[in-house]
Amino acid sequence: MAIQEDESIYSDEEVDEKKHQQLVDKVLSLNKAQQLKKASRTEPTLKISEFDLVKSVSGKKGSIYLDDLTKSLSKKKNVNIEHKQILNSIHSTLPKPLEKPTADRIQRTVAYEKARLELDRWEPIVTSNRVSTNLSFPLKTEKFKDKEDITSKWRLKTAFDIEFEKNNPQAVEEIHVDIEKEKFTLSKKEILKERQNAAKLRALQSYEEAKARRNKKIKSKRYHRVQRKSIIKQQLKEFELLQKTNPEEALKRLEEIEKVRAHERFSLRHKSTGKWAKNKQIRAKYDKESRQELAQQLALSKELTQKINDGTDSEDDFPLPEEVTTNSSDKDNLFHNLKVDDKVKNFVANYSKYWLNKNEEKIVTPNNIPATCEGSSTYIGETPVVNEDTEKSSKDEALMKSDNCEVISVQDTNDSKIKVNKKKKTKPVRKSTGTSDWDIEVMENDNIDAVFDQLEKKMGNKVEKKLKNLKGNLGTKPKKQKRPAVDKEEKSLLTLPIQKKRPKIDEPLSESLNRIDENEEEGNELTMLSSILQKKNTEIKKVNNDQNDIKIKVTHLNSEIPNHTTIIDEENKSSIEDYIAEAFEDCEKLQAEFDKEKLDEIEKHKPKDVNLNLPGWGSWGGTGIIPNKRKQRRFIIKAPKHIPRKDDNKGFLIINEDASSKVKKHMVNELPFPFRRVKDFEASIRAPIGQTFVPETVFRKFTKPSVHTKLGTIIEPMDKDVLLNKTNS
Amino acid sequence: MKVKVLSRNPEHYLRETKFDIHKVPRNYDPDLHPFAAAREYIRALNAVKLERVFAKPFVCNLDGHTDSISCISKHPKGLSSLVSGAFDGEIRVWDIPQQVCVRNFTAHDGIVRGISYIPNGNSFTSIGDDKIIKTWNSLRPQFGEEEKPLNSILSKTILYGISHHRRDPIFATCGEVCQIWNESRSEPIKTFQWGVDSLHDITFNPVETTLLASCASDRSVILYDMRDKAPLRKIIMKLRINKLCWNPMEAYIFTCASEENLYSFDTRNLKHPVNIHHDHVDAVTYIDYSPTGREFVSGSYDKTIRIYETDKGHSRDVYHTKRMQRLTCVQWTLDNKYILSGSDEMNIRIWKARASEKLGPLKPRERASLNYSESLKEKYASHPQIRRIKRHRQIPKHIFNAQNVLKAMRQKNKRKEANRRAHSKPGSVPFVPERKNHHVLAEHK
Repeated sequence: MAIQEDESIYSDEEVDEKKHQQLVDKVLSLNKAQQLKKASRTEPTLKISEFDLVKSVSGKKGSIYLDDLTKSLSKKKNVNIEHKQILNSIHSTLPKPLEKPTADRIQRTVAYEKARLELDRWEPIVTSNRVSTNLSFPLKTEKFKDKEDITSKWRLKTAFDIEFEKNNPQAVEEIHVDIEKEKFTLSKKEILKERQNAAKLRALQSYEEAKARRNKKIKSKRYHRVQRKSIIKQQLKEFELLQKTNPEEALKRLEEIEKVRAHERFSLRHKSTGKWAKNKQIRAKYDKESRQELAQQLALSKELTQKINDGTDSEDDFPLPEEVTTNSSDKDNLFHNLKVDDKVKNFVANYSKYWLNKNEEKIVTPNNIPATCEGSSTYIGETPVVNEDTEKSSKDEALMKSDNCEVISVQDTNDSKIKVNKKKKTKPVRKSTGTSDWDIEVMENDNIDAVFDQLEKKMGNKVEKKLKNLKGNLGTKPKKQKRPAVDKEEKSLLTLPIQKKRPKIDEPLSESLNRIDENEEEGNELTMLSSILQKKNTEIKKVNNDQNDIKIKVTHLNSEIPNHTTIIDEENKSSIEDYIAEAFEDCEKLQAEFDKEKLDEIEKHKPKDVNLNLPGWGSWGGTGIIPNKRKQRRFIIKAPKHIPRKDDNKGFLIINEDASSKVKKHMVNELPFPFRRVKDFEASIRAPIGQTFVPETVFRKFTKPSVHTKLGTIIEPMDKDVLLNKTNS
Repeated sequence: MKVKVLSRNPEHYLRETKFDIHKVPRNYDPDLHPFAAAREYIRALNAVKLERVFAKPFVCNLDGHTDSISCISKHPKGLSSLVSGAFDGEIRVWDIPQQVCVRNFTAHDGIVRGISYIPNGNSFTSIGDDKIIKTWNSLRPQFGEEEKPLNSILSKTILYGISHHRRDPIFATCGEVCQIWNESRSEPIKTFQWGVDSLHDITFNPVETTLLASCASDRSVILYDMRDKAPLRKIIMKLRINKLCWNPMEAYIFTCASEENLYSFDTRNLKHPVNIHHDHVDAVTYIDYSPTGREFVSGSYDKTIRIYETDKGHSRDVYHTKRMQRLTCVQWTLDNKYILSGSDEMNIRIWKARASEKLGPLKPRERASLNYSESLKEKYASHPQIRRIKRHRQIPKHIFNAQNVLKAMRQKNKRKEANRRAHSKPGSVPFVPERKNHHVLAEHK
């Protein structure tokens, strides 16, 4: 009601604002109590301070009444209807909101996860920067490469250039730029088409996946058995077809199958599953003999399955991780999944026999004898072939790879004479007329092992290659292997190999006061003596025990100066005996000299008594007073009479034990961090990097600083541009 | 018969002056250099000795402040200017190459708590104990003009720290709460509060520019994202964190200066520090990364500056002078060459970042030889003599003594643990690596 009245008053007449304000002020000034002005704000803020609020805005005493506000709403018809509709639509009460701390925590967790993912994007670049051996700051980003830069490299052709091009057009390299392609990007239609294609592909993929999942879920054993059999059947069919059309390929396939079988056989799955083993196992309970036999078998299998250690120890010789992965992926291969049937086995055996016979025929026929070296036929090489030709060449111990016509000579230490002529004779002329790429090897019994090793290596390589090919042909995707559960910390850490191996030392600075310790020198002798005294007892025993089995390791230095032997003039010296006699003429004299020298040496290195006596300490001192001998003696620390020496029992030998002490303090006594083997570390030290020892370019490369900065250039923090994919530009 | 004779003209290899540089014929056959490794070792030994001979890191001293220096800020676009604030409210602008104070004025009542240049370097913002955020022009006022702030904002809360966004006109302050401000507004655009403890330091991440971190007085570090409503995460440490710095090249790594130690953290895994950096014997008050992100410098209450490599647990070098008192702020210049330090006794010092580095441009041959000796030192780093000479430093007595005390404490703990291990069931007292040894007490989500 009050508002309505007000409205009517104001609507009647126009009020001059200024006058009205003055009037209000005057009226207020009548009331002597101070009035607080309402706070006015010009800045929009999120947080409203309690001091800015006018007192009881919505209360009864305030100027605004909520009821009035709602009343004004009721006048409008459509608002009312909407309001009612909304009210009707809400039937149940809303769920109670989460408590504030919980809600906040959830919000924070989500936000953190988001931030974490964003930070993860930096991982590769950070890792690569950490590992890289030389970085140049400020880091170059694409931002600095503008398109104008490219044009700046172009220049006009000079008269000379034009003339030059005319005269020899071959020297001119022409670069054709496909302007059409450069200019136009994809149209909208094309983009849509591309997207459609991609979607189709994705859908297809998902169907496939679903199907595979469905199949995998089927538990029926019978179904799987049938499936497996059908696959094998199909494979056989394919193989037969292949045999007719492409025997080479078939052979490869065969080899593959054979390999799978071998794998299956030497996997531990079939260990002690044979009839014999089972019988023995049953009997073993009661029969001692069979138990023994079983144990023997077990030992044998262990022996066979043990890893052979080559004894080569360098980091380079570690099995490469790649190889491991290929092995593991072997399992995914189709061939591995199917069990080898008897049918297949028979087939394989027959087929290989057939080829063997065929080859043997070829070898035996006299026409083909030279061809054995030429590589027209195959020969699996356990059975030694005795041919005239091969016998001749056997002395060379040459191993021939017929397909490449390479000659690998395996040298035996015993016969060092290899006649070049013969080698030439056996060297085949390249005339490969054969159908297969099988290898022919001529060998001898002596070095059969070496030959086998080579064979194995070759086989391994081939099998790998084939496996790769096969995989590609069959289009089988390697299954995703189950990853072992990794910690959250480790998961995110990318690792790259260190490019440059240098010892990494992380130790505190050896910090000392400004004064150098002077006592160090004085105390030296005393500490030495005390240590000797401590060691004395234990060492003597030790040395006595060790004397028998001391083995001196002779090291040959590369740097040793070569022996220059002089040739004896036979004219002057009639016989060697005379020569020797002359040489040892004054042997005894020499011996006496040596003994004296040795004694001197021993004497020199004997520890001396240490006198800690202070004259005048505890007794009178000065001229004329004879110090008490007994008292003096108490302060003398006596050195042991005999200290064992390394050369004690070695008559004509002086071992200087102190000689190494000078060098010792320069020698590394611990293998520094990134190195795992002493050998590697030594190699790293042995390789020189100086200009004097290596060519200039190599020197530059070796001595490139790890961090390079430009003088007076500001290095900006890393930019987000680094993360952008630059392939589009 | 043809006989080849080796003959050389001495003019081709003897030098009359140092400018006669001849081509030296060389034979790189390794058999001809049997002592290559030994010779290089001697060269390395000489190089490392020379390094210590030339190690004179102190460059100059900027004096003029009449109270301890509270904060310094380096120009983001130029190398020659520097702003410093003192505990008496004075701000000074320095010209580094001339080594003179260009401008000084009283900016605040009470302590100047923080100064931060805006990204283009045209002006800088300062905060003080009077709760006012003032923006100043980088240029000196004209003759006769008074020093006047371009803009001043009255904050409703106490301000302890300020950090500017790397590119945008946005800065963050901390005090009672963490506030994000826009340069053109007089009210914060965002306020974060988590707990009631006061925040004494705040830093923007220079790489992932929306992230911030602040240190609170309840020994915690709080992470924020500028775009989010709420903070991200909080970790509570064993000891209070005084200062925090982000690695400018590795977006997720930050290092914080605590009492005694420095801790490097990976933001994505805050459970344990990535690395712990020892060697200070008192509270570390300030830390700043080198612009290459490979090293950082820290100033401490023990009156020393130490330089660390990010991946190592011990310092690479230690700087001190007799007159330098407790450090309040340290900065690494943006050209990776110098270190600026402000300390309690009113001086700003300039140091070389690498103590024995030759200043100024180098001739190619000189550079090549320096590079060579550098890589020789690296190659032979594990040899005991080289290691000893390289790591030897003279330090003041009080630090030496404090170190001994700390060493005794550490040994005591170690011995106690070993004893406990020896007298309890095997396996019940496990070996815990230092990094996992409860430096972080709690991680609040």
